[in-house]
Amino acid sequence: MKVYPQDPRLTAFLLDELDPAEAHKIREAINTDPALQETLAELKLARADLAESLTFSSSVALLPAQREAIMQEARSVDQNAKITSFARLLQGWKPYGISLAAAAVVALILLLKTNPESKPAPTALARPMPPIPEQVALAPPAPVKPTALPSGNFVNPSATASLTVVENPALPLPMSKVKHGLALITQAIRTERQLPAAASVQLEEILNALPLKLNAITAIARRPKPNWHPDVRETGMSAHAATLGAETLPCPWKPSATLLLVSIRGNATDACQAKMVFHPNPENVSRYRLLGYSASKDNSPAEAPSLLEAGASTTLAIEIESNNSAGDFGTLSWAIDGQPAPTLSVRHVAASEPSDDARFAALICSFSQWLSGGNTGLLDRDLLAALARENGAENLAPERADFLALVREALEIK
Amino acid sequence: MTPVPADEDPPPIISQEAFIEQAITDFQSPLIAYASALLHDVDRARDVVQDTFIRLCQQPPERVREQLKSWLFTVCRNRAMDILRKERNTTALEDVRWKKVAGPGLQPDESIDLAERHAQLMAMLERLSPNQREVILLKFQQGLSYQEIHQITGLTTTNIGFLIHAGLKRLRDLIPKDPS
Repeated sequence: MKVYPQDPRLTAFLLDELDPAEAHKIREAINTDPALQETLAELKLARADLAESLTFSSSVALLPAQREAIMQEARSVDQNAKITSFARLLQGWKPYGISLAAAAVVALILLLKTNPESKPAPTALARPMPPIPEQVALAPPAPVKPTALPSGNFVNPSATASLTVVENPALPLPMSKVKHGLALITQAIRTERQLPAAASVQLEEILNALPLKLNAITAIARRPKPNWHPDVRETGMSAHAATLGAETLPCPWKPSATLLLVSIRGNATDACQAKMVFHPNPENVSRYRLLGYSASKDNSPAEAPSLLEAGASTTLAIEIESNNSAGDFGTLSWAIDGQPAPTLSVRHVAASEPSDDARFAALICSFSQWLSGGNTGLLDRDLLAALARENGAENLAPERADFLALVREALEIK
Repeated sequence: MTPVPADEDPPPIISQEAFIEQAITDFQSPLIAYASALLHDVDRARDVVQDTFIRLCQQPPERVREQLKSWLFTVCRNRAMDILRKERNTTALEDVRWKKVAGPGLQPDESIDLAERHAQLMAMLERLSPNQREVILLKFQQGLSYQEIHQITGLTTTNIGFLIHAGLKRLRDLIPKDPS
């Protein structure tokens, strides 16, 4: 076998990458060829240079905050796994529930047959199957699984841990109504000079307490309006039902994530029922999490609240873990009063500059999460202070300036 | 009585938290070094590695445990490449400077010397093709086999062998010969 100095097997031989038989052949070739010996010597020198210079330090480690963010994610996955197991357990009971119900019917028939005072049931076997017990039927409905079932409250399935797109291809988005959250934390910080209890911080209420207008891709829902024509705009008659917008920006507390802000605004004069569902694109999104809504009130667990009052708006924030730094993150499908509206595509452009309102919304989300001690990744006092500084401006609206002051005061509390 | 073979015992079930803790301990430094070499920036490398471990959190341990090392390097590489692609339009390659990963337990003069040699070598590595540079880093910085490099980069082992061979020869031509 003739081996030339250009043969990559020489390096493979040097690096122990050849199988024994081939290594033997190469060794024999080297032993008989001075040119190969010279090449091998050169390769050995290059290897030694690389080995010496590329030896990395064992002291290079993640920063403590980064490590903690990872461990927090691991803990939340552990917790989610337990909940999933419970859900599977419920699903697992479903067939048994049916069998037990069937057995109960048969037992009832036998009981009736043996009771002389009872009328026989001539068509007992043709009777409809008794309903499945409620607990069994409550196995999590696809696509959204409740993580817990507290009585009478709407539950955000991603309140404690982000959802995988594979298991949760769609997420109904709730409308926000109660807006006392900002007043409550303001009272705690300014009057009681203490940080509010973590459980009392409702991110969605704080986010919706300040008016925000995103620089967003928008879609408009119109309702059929007899006699409406563009010429009658000046009269106040409008077919406009609601406007939906979405804007993305880098997630301040998690460099790997993107923050999707969704804002829906209703008609100035008429309330409506707004139903909205986020469908993440599985090609670009791996996990996502609706921020807030951990236990909003007056709603059933099965359905997201949908009342959008006249002139009101709701802003929602969704943390998106993407596979790509930009691209199609999914769609928002929505309907007003049962009438489907144009679907909105959510596209993230990595290099785009977020609007001032989106930055402010990100600050509100960061502050709320910091107060609630949620899954906040890198978020700490320093980062929060920096975010607040970034949002400062001379011509800031009074309510925003007041919010920045509130953040500063909270950061001063030990 | 015949003892029950130990291999019949079910594998120990560990929590995701314990699994991740161990993975961080074992792989954070190699991954940061690898990402640093790709990104030329230790801070950004840490971000990429953090992201890699967060993604690991989302994987069932039993799915990735067997090939954990390759999985981590693959995800780390993809994230770093995303960043490089994103920055390609804004950062000229000539402007990029290697940031030294300081060595442990070295005296200041040793550290400076090593830093200089490291910087020289990195400058030479920059003159190789991206593929050559990457497989050389994976081989000599991380000690991965051709097969493991194949799993991470998708290159064939034959191609990897050729790239490393040609890369080593090119480096040897670039490195000043020791007069002694």
